Amino acid sequence: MNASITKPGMYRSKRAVREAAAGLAVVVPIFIYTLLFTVAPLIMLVRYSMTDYGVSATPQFTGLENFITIFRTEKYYSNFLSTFVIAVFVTGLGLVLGFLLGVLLNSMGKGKGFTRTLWYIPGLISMAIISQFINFMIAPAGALNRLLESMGSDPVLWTRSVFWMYFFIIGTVVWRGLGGTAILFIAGLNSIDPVIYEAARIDGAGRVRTLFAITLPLIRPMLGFILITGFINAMGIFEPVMLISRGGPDSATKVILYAIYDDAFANSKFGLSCALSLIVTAVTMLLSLVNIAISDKSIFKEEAAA
Amino acid sequence: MSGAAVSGGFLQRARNNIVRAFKYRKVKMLNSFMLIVLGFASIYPLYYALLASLSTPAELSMSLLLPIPGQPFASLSNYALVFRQAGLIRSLIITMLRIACNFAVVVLVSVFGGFAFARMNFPFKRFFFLFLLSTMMVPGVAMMIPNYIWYNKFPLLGGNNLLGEGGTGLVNNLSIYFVTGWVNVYNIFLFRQAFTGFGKELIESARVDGCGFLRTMFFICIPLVKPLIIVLLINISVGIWGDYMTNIVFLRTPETSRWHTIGSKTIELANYYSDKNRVGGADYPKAYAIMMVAMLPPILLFSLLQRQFVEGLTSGAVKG
Repeated sequence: MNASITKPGMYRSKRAVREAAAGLAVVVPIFIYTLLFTVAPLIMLVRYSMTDYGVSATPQFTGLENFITIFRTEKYYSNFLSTFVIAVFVTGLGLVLGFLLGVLLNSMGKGKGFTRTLWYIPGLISMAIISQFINFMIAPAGALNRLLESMGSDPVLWTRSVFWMYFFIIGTVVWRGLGGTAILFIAGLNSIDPVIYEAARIDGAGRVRTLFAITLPLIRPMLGFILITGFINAMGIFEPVMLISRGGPDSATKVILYAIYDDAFANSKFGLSCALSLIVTAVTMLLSLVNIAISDKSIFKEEAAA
Repeated sequence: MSGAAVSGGFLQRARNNIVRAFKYRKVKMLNSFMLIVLGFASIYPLYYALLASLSTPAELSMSLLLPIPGQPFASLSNYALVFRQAGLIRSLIITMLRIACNFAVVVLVSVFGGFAFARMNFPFKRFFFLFLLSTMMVPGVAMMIPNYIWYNKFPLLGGNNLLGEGGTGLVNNLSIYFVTGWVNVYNIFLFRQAFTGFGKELIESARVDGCGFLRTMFFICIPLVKPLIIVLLINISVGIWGDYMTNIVFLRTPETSRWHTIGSKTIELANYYSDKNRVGGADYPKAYAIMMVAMLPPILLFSLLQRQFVEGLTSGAVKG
């Protein structure tokens, strides 16, 4: 480890002083920018969550009233529930399918690079455009209904069905993220020493046994990381809901972020929106802390040792 | 891989092994085949949109799985038409500007910041490090409304005074495209890790040869982390190209929404062309032409830089 202990009196030589000055010249602007663009909004979040900002021209302090309103309003429970349902399915399916895809891609011989690229492409298309595409497909006279009619079935009003709306929102997000998750897993799989596999094979472990007894335990930290970051990201799903279901039918797929957006811009209740955002922020920060606790702490250890 | 006999010289076991190896190869081929077929299925929107954009509205409305354009070259005019109107070019220009500006700043911030944390001693280093690390926990998505409130009150911008009063700050102000997203802590740590891995000798020797700080940065450090810079280029381009939220949340007046970047402009135009109440009725082929414009450039960029991208990902990101 390089000795970078900041003891008093260590900046004695001219060179060390110059280095300290250069380091501060780099880091202080970054620090100030972060104060302006990350910390200041956090202060706004806490401050305005306790006001009726938006309803009255000059925001009045209302204490915990916004939070009480949220806990007394049934629709917010359903918003949180649909967020949770979507996040659970998106994360779970994404993890399982992404892992499977990673394992399969990794065991490919020829054409591995090409196939990997193929699977990565949907992740390069913006969520909004993919959602718009799905939107066109499921229009009343869209391609999907034409296909159904050609097979002799009746057309379906997809946007009127709770199941299909969940299906298309979850499906779109999972499918778009699959390649990226697979690539993460490939990197994790390749970091496992092949000697371990060799040893397992000599000991007579089959392919399934190897998967459960060796591969999965060894990439467990990675699994945890992907699971939690995936869940946090899934709680922020917005475009598919806005563009495919518009929260419908009857607000069944209205996720919390869409409710936040709606309350602020359609109902101009910024204070209430902030209170909702604060709840979401608290939940995700809690998850992040769990993530740090279970992930390997090399980044902290390194810094502590430095 | 599993073809070699494990041990023993028994005929039976050898035969079993051969059979297994044969089966395994079959499984492997089936696996590859399936992955490629499903992979092509997963980019279905891409060729559906391509074929649809080259069809006539009538062909498209009769098509089933894929539209078959009768005269694809005649329908290329769809692209010419969508480019000629409705500010697509304007949107392209501002998107490119935004990408270029953001990329330049983020590279500088990440390289310099990463280097400072990896290789320099300065006061309060640990404090700054932990501070930046903790800001990574703030969820970007939940900050939409607080960001809006704060940007509205942003001091000294958009007609605001020092206290953030008088104007609209960064809201409904195009400079929001250029002043946000400069510091990405994750990227700083990525570069920090890369510089930690390179060892001190190279930089030390440059210094002995009389290289100053800035020259060391530009001629030694930046070339060293080129693969990571490619990763940044792709991530930033793809991200800004597809950005939808910034546009619809922060630029809400007609004067500013004219300047929306591609991610939102293409949605708006696709809606416009697919609207059946529009003069002349819905024109889906043009809507799909717009979607092709939205989808293709990030894919082209990625295919061009794919090799370096994978190299960059495996060199830095994975070690953490």
